[in-house]
Amino acid sequence: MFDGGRSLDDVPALSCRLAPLLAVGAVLALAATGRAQAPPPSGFPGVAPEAPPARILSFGTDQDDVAAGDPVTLRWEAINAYAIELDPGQGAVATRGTRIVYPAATTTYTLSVTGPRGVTTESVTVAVIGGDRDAAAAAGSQRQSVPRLGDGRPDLTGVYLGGRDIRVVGDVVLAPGAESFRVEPDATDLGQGALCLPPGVPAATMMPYPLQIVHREDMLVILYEAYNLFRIIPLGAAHPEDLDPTWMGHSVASWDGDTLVVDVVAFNDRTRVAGYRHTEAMHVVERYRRSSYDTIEYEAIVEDPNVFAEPIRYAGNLALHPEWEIGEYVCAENNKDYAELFSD
Amino acid sequence: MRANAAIGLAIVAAALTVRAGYAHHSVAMYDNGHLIELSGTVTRVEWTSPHVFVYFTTLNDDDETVEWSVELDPPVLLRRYGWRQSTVEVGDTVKFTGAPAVSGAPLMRGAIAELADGTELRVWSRV
Repeated sequence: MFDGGRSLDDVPALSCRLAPLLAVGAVLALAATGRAQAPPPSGFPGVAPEAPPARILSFGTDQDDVAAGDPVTLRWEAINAYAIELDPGQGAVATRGTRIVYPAATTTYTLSVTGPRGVTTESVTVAVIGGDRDAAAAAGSQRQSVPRLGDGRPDLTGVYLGGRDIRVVGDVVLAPGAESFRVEPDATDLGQGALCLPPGVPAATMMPYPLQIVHREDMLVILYEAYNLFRIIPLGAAHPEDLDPTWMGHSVASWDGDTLVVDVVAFNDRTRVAGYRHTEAMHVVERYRRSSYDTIEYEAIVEDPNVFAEPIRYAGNLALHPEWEIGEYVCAENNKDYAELFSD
Repeated sequence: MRANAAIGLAIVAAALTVRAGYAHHSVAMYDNGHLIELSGTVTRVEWTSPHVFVYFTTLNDDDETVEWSVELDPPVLLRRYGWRQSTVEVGDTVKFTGAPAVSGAPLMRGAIAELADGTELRVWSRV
């Protein structure tokens, strides 16, 4: 909750300051047209601020020259990055970290940091003294293939981010008389998220937080960082007949070739789909296809004949982030009463 | 420290488009059509989910001390931008760029923070 004791008398006269912003903003908008800039992965509602660039704060080694095959520690720190790669052969790495390498030949290591304004790189060279033992070993990595489970099926295990890459494809076609299901957003309707309640499926996949998939032959587990939700999805099982409605529904999985198909039923009617409420008749079919080592192609088909005349299709990619771990997100820790927070 | 509220870093977009289900809560209570900058001295930090809050004092046009609070992404996201709990502490000087509360209350949704050494850091996944 917000500390009390404030009144409008304490508030700076912002309104008179904001008026010039419209003009300044309009000028900047004109000036910005045609500016070449790497597009950010997500939008900013109403405003496109000048996002800070990704920067490499440090990148170095603990020694500049070694004997062939001896260990060298690489150490780095970056900020504002969407993705960080360490080459050759190390792949995606965390914002801050160390990595021990064993160069067989003189090697230049390059840290590539991608942010809202493009890519920044720094390199360090480790000289191998006394001849190259196996130059080929240090020449770079083989591109990794899709890992497989013991039964030969694709293994979806990994930390991924879907976020805003998952979008509605096509139009939302309402069933006759279903207009009342439309959510009319206003400042007082904060959605169930403001109460720390689950977003449901497929919205949980679309949060700007990663998810962890743990996959074995008889089961898929999805751990969502947002709200610390989980789904345990058996393979080859049928839905029980006596299900009660829940926020995340009940899921079972089966294979369609190399695509994992997850069938989800038994939802409550409290989540939202594409800006609409729905009924307990909602049925979701998700499809997960690991099309490459670092990508899962994701699709969700949402049906609710009480609301939608045609199924709604979501599609997009889940990007692998091996450098991340799922973190703690305890929504009730400090969930403020926004109605009070924003009252005058 | 004087509050320099109205510095137009913003580019005004064509429309407000808040997509349901993407944020912890609606952002309709913030004036996302504009960005302001505010500098101040940090008085308190709540390193918490679902949002980090940084409180800081600044002076209004009447040279009165006002405490503002700025809402940031939660710790799990800030860490991926390079933040740690110790990045901003009580007594530090910080400049925030963000969207002010529509109500006029001294609140803002932070987008970018500029630390005392000039380092700029993301504080919102939408930036």
